[in-house]
Amino acid sequence: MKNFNMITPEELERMITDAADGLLSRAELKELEKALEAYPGLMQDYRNIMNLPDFNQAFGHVESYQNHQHVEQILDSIRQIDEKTTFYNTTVVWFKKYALAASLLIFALTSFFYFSQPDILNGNISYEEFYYPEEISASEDYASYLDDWFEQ
Amino acid sequence: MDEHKKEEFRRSIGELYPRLHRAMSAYLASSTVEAEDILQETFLKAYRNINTFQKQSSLYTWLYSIARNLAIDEFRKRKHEKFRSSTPVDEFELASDNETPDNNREEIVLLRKAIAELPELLRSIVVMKTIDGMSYPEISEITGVNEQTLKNRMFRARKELAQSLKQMGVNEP
Repeated sequence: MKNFNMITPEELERMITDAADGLLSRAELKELEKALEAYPGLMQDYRNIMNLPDFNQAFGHVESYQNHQHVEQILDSIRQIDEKTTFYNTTVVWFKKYALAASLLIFALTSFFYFSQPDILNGNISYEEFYYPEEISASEDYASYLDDWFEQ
Repeated sequence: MDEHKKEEFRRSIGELYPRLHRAMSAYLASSTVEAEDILQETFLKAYRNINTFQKQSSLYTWLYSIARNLAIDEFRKRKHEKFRSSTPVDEFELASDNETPDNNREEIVLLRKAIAELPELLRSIVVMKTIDGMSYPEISEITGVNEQTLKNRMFRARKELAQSLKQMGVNEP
């Protein structure tokens, strides 16, 4: 049995909530009503609240076939997530596993290509010449033109 | 990812969906947000984050809090939109539609309207407690509000509902 002596309005509000939730016994309800006599406003709220209709009947259930359709849509989306995740995981695992091997292979191939040039092996071409072949610039063209002109 | 957890989750969707759908439809009755969209997003988000689910809470309350947070995010996004109902409150199926007398039916429609007009937190609490049948500890877990405060909020919600219904002429002699 709850003690209703020296009860605050906030506590009374909670007791009213308990009463509306059907948690109080008959004796406790009587005690609550007695305590509410000191608070006419709360007593009126209590009466109004206890008079409220059942909220639970206000919202019915959707037809089960509609729920079934929605559940199927969710399961389809989950299957798609799984497929994407599987692909992602596979590629990440593959990359982690074979990244070193792939790097070494690329290094070996580029090295092979580099050393397979006959000029390089004969020492006839320098590294810079191979990567930055000499180009005759416009200024050099003009300088040789001036040389020719003065000689004439 | 834990395959066992995922499999268990997939199997529970069919069982949890109808209850969550009913609760979310009631909660979203006054907004432009569709319960089906929120639930689709909820289950997919939960599936992606199933490893973060702690067994201390029930799967249902975990899903409910995800759904509520997604709905609140949607409310914020659509704040500029005109407040109108996507599912008019009088279009919900009644539990036993054929047997419901006309005067009772009207009362139910008004009751839905009154619930839909409550502020977000009060509406949440009313839906969770009286429509979904959750306990206060479960509601506290979802809302982060302690049980004592929840009971005071529930009192306020019921008081506001009683006033709204009185204004609508329900329960008047």
